[in-house]
Amino acid sequence: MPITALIVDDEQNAQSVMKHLLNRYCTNVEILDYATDIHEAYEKINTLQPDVVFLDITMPPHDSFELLRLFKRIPFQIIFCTAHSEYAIQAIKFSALDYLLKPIKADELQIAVQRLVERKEQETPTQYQLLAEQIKKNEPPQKLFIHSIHAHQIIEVKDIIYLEASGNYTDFYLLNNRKITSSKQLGEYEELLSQHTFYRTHKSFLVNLQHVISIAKTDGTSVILQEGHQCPIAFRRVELFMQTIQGLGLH
Amino acid sequence: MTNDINIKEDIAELIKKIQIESNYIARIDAYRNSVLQPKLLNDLNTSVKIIGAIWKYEKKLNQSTAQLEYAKKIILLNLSIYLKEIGQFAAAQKILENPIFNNQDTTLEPTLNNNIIASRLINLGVLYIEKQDITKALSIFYQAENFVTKTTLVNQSYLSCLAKINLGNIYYNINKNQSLKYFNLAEKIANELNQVNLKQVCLINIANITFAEDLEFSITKIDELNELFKTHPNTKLKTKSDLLKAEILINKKIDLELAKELLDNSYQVYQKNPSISILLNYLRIYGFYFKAIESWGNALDLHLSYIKTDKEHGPNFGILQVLKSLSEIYEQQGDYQKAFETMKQKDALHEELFGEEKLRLFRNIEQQQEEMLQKERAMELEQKVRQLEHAALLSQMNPHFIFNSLNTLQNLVIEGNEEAAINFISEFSTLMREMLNNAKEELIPLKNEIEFLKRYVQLEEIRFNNKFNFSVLIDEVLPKHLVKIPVMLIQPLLENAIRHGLAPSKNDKSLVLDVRNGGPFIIVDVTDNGIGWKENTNKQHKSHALENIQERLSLMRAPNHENGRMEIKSDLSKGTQITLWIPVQF
Repeated sequence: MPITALIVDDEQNAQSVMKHLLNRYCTNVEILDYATDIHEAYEKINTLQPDVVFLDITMPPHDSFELLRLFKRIPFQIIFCTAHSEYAIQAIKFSALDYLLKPIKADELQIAVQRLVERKEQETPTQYQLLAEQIKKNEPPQKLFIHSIHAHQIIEVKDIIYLEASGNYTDFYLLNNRKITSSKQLGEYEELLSQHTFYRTHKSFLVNLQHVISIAKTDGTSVILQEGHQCPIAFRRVELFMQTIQGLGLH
Repeated sequence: MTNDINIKEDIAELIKKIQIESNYIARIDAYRNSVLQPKLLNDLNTSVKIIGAIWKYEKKLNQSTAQLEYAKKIILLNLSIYLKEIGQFAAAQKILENPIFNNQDTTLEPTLNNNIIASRLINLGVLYIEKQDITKALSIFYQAENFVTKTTLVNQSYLSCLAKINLGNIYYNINKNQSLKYFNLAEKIANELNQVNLKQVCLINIANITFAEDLEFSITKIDELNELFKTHPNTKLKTKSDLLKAEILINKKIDLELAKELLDNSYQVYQKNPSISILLNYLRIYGFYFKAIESWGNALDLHLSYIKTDKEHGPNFGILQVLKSLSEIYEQQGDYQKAFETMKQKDALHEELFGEEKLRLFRNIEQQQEEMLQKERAMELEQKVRQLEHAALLSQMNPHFIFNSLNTLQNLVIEGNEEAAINFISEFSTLMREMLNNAKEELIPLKNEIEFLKRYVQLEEIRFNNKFNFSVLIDEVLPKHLVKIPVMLIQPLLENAIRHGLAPSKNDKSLVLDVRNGGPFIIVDVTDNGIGWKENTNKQHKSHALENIQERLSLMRAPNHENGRMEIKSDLSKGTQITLWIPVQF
């Protein structure tokens, strides 16, 4: 059964590019129709009920988040498309949603479509709510959406004490002795949290510097964190880590 | 009577001389020389007569009032210097306080006006130093220093050096270290300017401050000074230096014979070039000489004679020293009553000149200056930060445009529209190249900017599959290749008009760029007939771009000192007009 799609973009060129790329590289996608503004998109989503919407972010005088706010629940998947990694992209990443950068690369498009098919987790309304909430503030997002093995949840970035790689998964150690496991790899989170005060002390550990209490020199060097946690610091990274800590004025 | 006739003849001769000078500035120099001729200027009346005659003559020549007034100010300044030199401090001050100095004629070149203001401040300050009014002198020299550093002047460094020398003089009796610091600074500037005359003044003062603490150092400075006199003779300074050397010799009881010789020579020079400060120094140091050889009667006479001369011209540098010495002589002679009275007199004068009350005032002025400088430093830093931000604001084009253009190109390629794709690539790369070249400059010729903007709009037309009726109107008065405008200032306005006004509009689309001459400004209108603004909810990006422009304009100043500005008029479904007032830049 093909995946049905609606393409929403205010530029005809962009619509045409998407049509050609999908026809050529994603033969399992059937394009139902196109829309050039959010009102047209709203109508067509309701009548056509597509599986997925390829959605441009900026469509003056509106943007696609205004479109999403028109729905009480969102019964379709979304792949955001945008020309520039702007403020919105960061919020999309924190909400664990998919996006493509224009000009669109064929292989990235294929991967995104492939994920739609294989997706174990369905996007939840919470993710879009989170997105809408974080998009309004013009600052780095403070909340992170996590697809964990047992449940999906939103956590506060400031509550993360540290992250530990565990095979292809990542364990989150949070304040108040909470622990959750995400199905994404540690490297993705390192990139995502780069605007916050996180430091990769070790290939398997990403530490929130806000929760560092002290440095211990027994058994190699390690960092003592709140609530009795302890993470190793790789020998090569000790010096840089100390500098970073001092630079932040934390001791 | 005969004297009067002589003067008239002299004036006639002078005017003839002036008449020959066709050049205006040279003529002013001629005034200056005439006014400073000692023969004609032995009294105030004569000099005023000369000035009157010259002014009348100038009126006949129909000089502009601005130039006439400038000439008057120059003459008055020089007259006051002369009067100070002959000890007429009150008259000199009165001249400097003449209301004519309050007139700021704007038709005159500003640097000329500024030079007069600075020279007047410095001369007035010098008078207060002579009168030992340290608080007035300090505040005037701070004023002078601030003025000199902040305005464009001819001889800026020279005047700054003069101000520092005088600040050194002010601190001489208050804080020797601070005083030395100023003279060292002044010497450094004099070296840079290669102003031997000023360097000589600095050296003599440095020698004077240091001889009590470090005799050897002080003597090396005097030797250096005497070397300079060989190549750059200066009778007055040489005499001062000889007097200082005599004072040092007497003070340290080294070679009293040589000291006496130096003193006698100085008097001969003084007779040829009368100067009140040299006379006072001579009397003071000769008194010390007689005291050193224990010739008490002579010492007493000279001290009393110093005090008498000093009284006629207001308190001078050496009076406290002389009173102290005088009291010692009375004591030596057993006249304890007089010794006590003189000491009391000295203490009273010291209290008056450098007493607690005076010092408190002095510190207040110091503190105010320090606070002002601190504020200025903070402002300077702020300004620097703003300039850096400004550089960042000069930003590139909106990255959205770049990537969306590449997206358009991608479509042309996918659709197999080879010719259009090739054209697009060539136009787009030209635009990018222009943008990168322009980004190196702050200002670019209007002509280049217009070409750039036309190309930009053309590319946007392809991108939106849409024709805009784009017209460019340029005031013919503006020389397009000469007038320069800030780089990337107008492009964001066009981009906004296209993206937020025209693209969503269903009507025929028109975009007008109008560049006009507005005196100190270049006025730019960008008008579109798009959807207007109030309906527009995506304000975030737009206001950011416009804020940048607003900020950049507000950092620019027009020749009439107004800042640049921006005005927005937007009407729902009628369109938007944005007007920029760009200060003319050279």
